[in-house]
Amino acid sequence: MRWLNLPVLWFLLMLCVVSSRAQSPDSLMEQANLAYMDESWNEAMDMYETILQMEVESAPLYYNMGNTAYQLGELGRAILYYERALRLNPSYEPALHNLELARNGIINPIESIPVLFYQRWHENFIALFSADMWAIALIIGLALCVISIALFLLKQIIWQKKLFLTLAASFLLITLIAAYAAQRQYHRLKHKQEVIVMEEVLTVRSAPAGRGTELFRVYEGTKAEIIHRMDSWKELRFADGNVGWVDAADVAQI
Amino acid sequence: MMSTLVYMICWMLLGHATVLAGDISFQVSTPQSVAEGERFRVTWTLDARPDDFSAPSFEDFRMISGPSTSSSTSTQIINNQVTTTVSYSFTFVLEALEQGTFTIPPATAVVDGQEYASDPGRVEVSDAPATPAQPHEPREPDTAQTRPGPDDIFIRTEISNTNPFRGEQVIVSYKLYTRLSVQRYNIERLPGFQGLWTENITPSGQPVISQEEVNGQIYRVAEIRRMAVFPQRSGDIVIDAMDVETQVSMPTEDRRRPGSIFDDFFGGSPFDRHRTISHHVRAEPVVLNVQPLPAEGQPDDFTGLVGQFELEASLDSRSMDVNDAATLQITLSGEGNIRMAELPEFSFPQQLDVFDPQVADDIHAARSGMHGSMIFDYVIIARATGTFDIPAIRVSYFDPERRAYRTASSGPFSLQVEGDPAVAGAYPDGIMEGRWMAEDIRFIHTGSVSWQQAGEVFYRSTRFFLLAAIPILLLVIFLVFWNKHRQETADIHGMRMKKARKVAVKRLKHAKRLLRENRKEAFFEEIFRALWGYVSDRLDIPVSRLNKENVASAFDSRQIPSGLATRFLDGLHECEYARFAPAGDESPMDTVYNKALDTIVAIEKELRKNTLVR
Repeated sequence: MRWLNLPVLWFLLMLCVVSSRAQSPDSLMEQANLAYMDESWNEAMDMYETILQMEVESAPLYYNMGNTAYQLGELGRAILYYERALRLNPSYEPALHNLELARNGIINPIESIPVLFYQRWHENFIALFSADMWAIALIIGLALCVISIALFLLKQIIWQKKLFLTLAASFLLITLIAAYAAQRQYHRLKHKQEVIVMEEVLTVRSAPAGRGTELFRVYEGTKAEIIHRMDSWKELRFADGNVGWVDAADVAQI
Repeated sequence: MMSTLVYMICWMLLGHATVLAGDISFQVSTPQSVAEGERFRVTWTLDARPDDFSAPSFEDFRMISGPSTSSSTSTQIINNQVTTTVSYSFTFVLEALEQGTFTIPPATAVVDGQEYASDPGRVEVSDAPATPAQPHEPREPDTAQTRPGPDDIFIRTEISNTNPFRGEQVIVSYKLYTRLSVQRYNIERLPGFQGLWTENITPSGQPVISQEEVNGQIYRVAEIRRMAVFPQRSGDIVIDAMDVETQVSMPTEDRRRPGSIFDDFFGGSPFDRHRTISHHVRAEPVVLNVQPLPAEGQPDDFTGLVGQFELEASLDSRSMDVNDAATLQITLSGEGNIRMAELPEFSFPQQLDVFDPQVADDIHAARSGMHGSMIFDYVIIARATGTFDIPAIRVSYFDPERRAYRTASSGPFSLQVEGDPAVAGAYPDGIMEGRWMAEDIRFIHTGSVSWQQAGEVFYRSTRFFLLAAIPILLLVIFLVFWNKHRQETADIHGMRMKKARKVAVKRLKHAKRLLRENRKEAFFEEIFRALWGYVSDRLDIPVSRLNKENVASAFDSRQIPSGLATRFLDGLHECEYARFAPAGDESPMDTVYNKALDTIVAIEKELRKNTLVR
């Protein structure tokens, strides 16, 4: 029974480490927020970036950086930071709202290919939470499922047994769904790499070289998925399904 | 002067026979009269593209060469109506063999499957040029010769600048100098212009005739061709020779008087005796030494414009509603290679949709060269409200006179766009000014923040797996404990079941003792307990739940025949009845004892049998 305490101890240890590190980011965050309120956007942005250099991150930090970039009129960066905030927390409502607003500023926005309604529901459901949140849901679901099984076994009265059996099955289902969604989100995070166009106007070419045929133009803030890399070039797929090469320096990865 | 012009026009008209068939004109042109032995040209001109052309046989003449074919296309725009004229000509060079008047038979041509024939031509061959009958004055020995000498007629090429910059306008003028009377001239071969872009600026109509003195001689001078040329590369560029065929009237008698120069240019008095001969004149090639444009100080947006230019730009409205259109007109005017003018790319604010410009030109050829203007119309549609600055429009050019690059500019402009920004659609208000609907974005997050290591993911981390393992481990532990507990409780029942018979036997023995002692009440109670206790233990029914219904159902579930249950219940009933009934009314005690014993044995037997069957 003693070894059971190990993960708990380990977890507590982690919390201690994180909180001791967080002391500095917290104060910086506070200062940066004050600078933002003073409308000294550049100063605020510098301080937010200092926090990032400490190798910590959080959805609110990216969200605040997005707002600062927005105020600076840097559309591409604003969208990039909102996307990063949403990568950590896909259901972060203010970031969703501001991203929507910032996207309105994209010139000639690309119309995405419409997907079938059940695919959209599926995607939206998965995107409800980040991989970590789904993972927490998974653990909680599993714990509740275990408790329900125990109660089912202990109870003698028939209707109570029925109740706990149903609950155990439901929690098991929730756990499995959470595991599936967490796995999908994790895969998305690790393998689906997306970029935001940072140049005001970017010419997409047919080949990874300056002399490739100019195919079409995309504008600052447009999102695309990386499908290949070659030297300093990236092959991107845009929301409308079009594919082409751009210089990696002109885009920023989410 | 007037008479000579009239004469000339008449002469030219007579030389042309015109056939008008439908819209197609098919003409033959021959000289009216030639000298015996002289070579002359016969030209058929057709103003359509012929599918086939066949010349007549020239029986009375000797064909020297031909046919040489040439075609020309000219496009005219008058009141926005475009007229395209094509002209095909077939030229033969013939030699007159005998004197007399000859007819050149009609030629035929097929145009669009239809055959056309020209009119016949008429040529009068006069006597061969002979040695001059009249002795000539020693002062003008050439006039007496049969062929004009090089001093009598020649072409001078005048070039405004033999050392121009690349792209600079150079005026090339060919002047025909003559002391003879030239009736007609025809440029046979235009000079070639490798590396030059040329514009013909020869004034239309008859050439103006002036006088010039060359080497003490008075010449009549006519400018027969004037061109503006623009060198396209640096280095030496050769303007090839130009060949001109002239029809010169040679006097047979020297009737010239110094005062008759004016009358004589185109042949003098018609009553003079003269003959017309054709004479070939050549303008010698000239070389332009073209300098490259200086690299020093060349602006980045320089596109090769050389000359003197001005730029004027105007915006037709300074304030407009969103989604309305305004026109920015840029007029580049001046002198030089204006036809090559392009506007450099210049950037408009993002919120303005600007279409590719419509380009119109208004370029004139003047004696001084090419001048005029290029007009660029940009249509601008505002997609957002606000004040937008259109930057100044700049065009760089090289001024060859000052030998320096210059920039013509106009603007900047500011455009005020009003209206409902919602109509503007995709563009937020005033991106450039940083005024982006600031009231609309949500405020920053100011509360506490939970930090995580950059790039760290909780899912699938060790921490995650350990945390996920906790409930599973707890379940396993619970199941272990629960199972153990269940086994233990199961044993208690087993014990009771095993002991049930012994207990019953013990109680029955005790009842027998009581029977012997004849303690009636205690005996029935003991029998009752023995029966009750045995069923309770053996069938695992808690004492608290022991009642007749439960017993009946327990018997039923264990497949004990219902007769046995009745016997058991009857036994119980008898005991109860005997315990509380008045004395003497009860069944005999030994019968009750035997009945109870039989019942227990029967139940035991049934249970054993069922167990074995299972």
